[in-house]
Amino acid sequence: MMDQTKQLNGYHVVFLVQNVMMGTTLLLLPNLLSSVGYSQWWLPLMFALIANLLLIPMVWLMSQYSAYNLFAIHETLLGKWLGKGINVLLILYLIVLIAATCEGYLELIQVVALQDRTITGPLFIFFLLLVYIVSGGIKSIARFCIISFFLVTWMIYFMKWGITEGDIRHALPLFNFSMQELFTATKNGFFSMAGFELILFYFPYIIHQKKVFKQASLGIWICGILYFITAFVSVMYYSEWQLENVLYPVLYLFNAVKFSFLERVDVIAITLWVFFILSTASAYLWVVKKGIDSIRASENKSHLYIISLIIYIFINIQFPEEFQNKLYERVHFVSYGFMIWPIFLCIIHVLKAKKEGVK
Amino acid sequence: MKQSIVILLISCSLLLIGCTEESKRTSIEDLGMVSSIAFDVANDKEMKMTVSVPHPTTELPKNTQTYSVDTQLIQEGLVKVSSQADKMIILNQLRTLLFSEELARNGKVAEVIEHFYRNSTVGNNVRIAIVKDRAEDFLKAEFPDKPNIDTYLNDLLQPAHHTSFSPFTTLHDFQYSESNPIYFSMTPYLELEKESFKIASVALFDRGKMLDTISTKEALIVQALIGKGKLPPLAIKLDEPSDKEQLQIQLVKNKVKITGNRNIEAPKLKIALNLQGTLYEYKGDKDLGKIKEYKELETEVSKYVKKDVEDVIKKLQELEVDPVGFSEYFRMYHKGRWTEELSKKIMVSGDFKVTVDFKLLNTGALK
Repeated sequence: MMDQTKQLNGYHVVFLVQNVMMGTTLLLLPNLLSSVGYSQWWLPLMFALIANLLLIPMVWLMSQYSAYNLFAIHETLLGKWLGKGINVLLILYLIVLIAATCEGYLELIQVVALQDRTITGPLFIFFLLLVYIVSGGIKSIARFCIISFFLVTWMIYFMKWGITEGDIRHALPLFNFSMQELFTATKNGFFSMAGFELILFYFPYIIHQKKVFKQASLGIWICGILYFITAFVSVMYYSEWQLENVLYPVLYLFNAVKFSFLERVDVIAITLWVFFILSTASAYLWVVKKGIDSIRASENKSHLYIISLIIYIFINIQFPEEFQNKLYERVHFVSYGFMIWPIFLCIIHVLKAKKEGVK
Repeated sequence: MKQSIVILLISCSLLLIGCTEESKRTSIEDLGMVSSIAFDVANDKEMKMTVSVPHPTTELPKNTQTYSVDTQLIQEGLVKVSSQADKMIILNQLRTLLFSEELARNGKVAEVIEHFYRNSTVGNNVRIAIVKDRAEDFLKAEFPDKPNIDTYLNDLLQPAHHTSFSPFTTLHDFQYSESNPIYFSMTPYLELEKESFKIASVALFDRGKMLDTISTKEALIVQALIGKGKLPPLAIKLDEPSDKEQLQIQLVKNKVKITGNRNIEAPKLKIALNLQGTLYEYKGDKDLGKIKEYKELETEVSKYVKKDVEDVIKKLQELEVDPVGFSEYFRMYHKGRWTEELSKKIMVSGDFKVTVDFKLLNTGALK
């Protein structure tokens, strides 16, 4: 049915998981969690733990159907029509998600780097690159993830300035928030963990499928720790008002960097960030392409071009601001549903197996 | 087939190049990069904004251009400046913001700073200072031995050892302390002298309004209490009226330990200041070769600094401001929201116990 050559080794899995998770959300994270104020610094660790728990049903389900991806599993478990219907919804959701990721980043670029220009041109070049990466298949995406990780993550060094100017006493007291505030922070912030669930799609391509849980967990925790460092430094560096009101806190953290030979590190950081955005968007785009392939039951390169064109046009359409924000916000909730979805599939699988066993 | 399409694409794009718009990018010579801005009170409603733009060519006798406009909004002011200037005014190289004391006392500073903090083209390391009299005079001042006022001003406001009594406030620092209920902002306070500027004292703020200034010596104590490791040299006159014993101490190390009793209703704070320094200069009749007299000097200095610290705390209590952040030691253990009222309460009703331990490391290379 599909080209099932196993091509992803352990490193590929680790970096695919963690790089897809870090998109624009790392830039926003301290702001997203601001409803719990200074106590937010340990939340990323809690999120990583939850993500790790959610990974268990996913990996179990996939190991039952080791040659199928989620689209194929839907069709086998839920029947052809229901399965295809759900696949279509999934594809629509992923398209909006890609659009939200790209648009979020390009808006940031417009605010910081290209104030006097529109983003249509840069967006076009961005999409050319995106299609190029995706057309190489999942292995090309994984390799791109590895290189982008090493090209960008060294910037964690720039946190040094935030630490020296910050105040570690902000970390106390530990649980200074109400349940309502914690709920709001989790609702807004847990989205930063979205991305590991893509393992449901590239599982068939992994060489050592038995070790997947370990490798994916490693990816989740690398990402969780990077989030934790960011949140902790932000808590030290900012006042609660700033956490709440500075839209891109990480950007302002880079702004604090002082070099005698370099003035605006934040602009460099933001432009380098394109690697993270590209790796996130390319993985999702690859999944969408696989989805279309499975619906039309044929592998075709033209699918990729058509989807990219649709997303490009979608981003360029000027929706009313309010509608767009609402739409992108809803996408977060869908992704939460999507993370829990494999649990239902596991139950259906067990029930079905029992029924067949009775027969 | 494929080849012909590629050739067609290339030839089309070659022909289309002629249709591109003329490049909108401006070259660096066409940009007027604002380096400093000074704010004064113009009238009841408006501020007077003076912008200084360094000129790249050195043929002119004066290499900085200044423009002044009256305006209510900052961005509006910049647009007005652009219509006077021969170049495109941009803020990417902004280094210094000066405010006149009158404007600061009116409480306008916080508003202006929030505007610049929001603007992402402005870096967060822009230095802020309050100045005596009119701020525009500072940008328009001419000193024959200093070629460029902007560079001079910028260098003066950069952290340096001998002026480290000054808080060297940046845009981020001011916004941080303004928005944090624990802290009260401080900025350097400049005065214009005959042929130079001078960091004369430190201005204290209470929620965006300038309250008062404290002397450089008091500011040094505040920096010591904040826990700054490197402090400027300390001049001490031991028996005040006679001036018999005078010393100058180079402070090598400063350690401060503050503990609060966690009780907001009856706050008690213990401050233990641990100073180490070397003797730079000594005028007096002690023989420092003898251990007893050496120790005596140490205790005398400790006593002297202790009194200074107590005086500064008393002054801050009277002004009801807390630039040190004493209330952080209570917020750390406080469940729920912390407010400015609580900070003020801690400061005003706090019972401060100060101990100072001064260690003299050596007395120089001569016997």
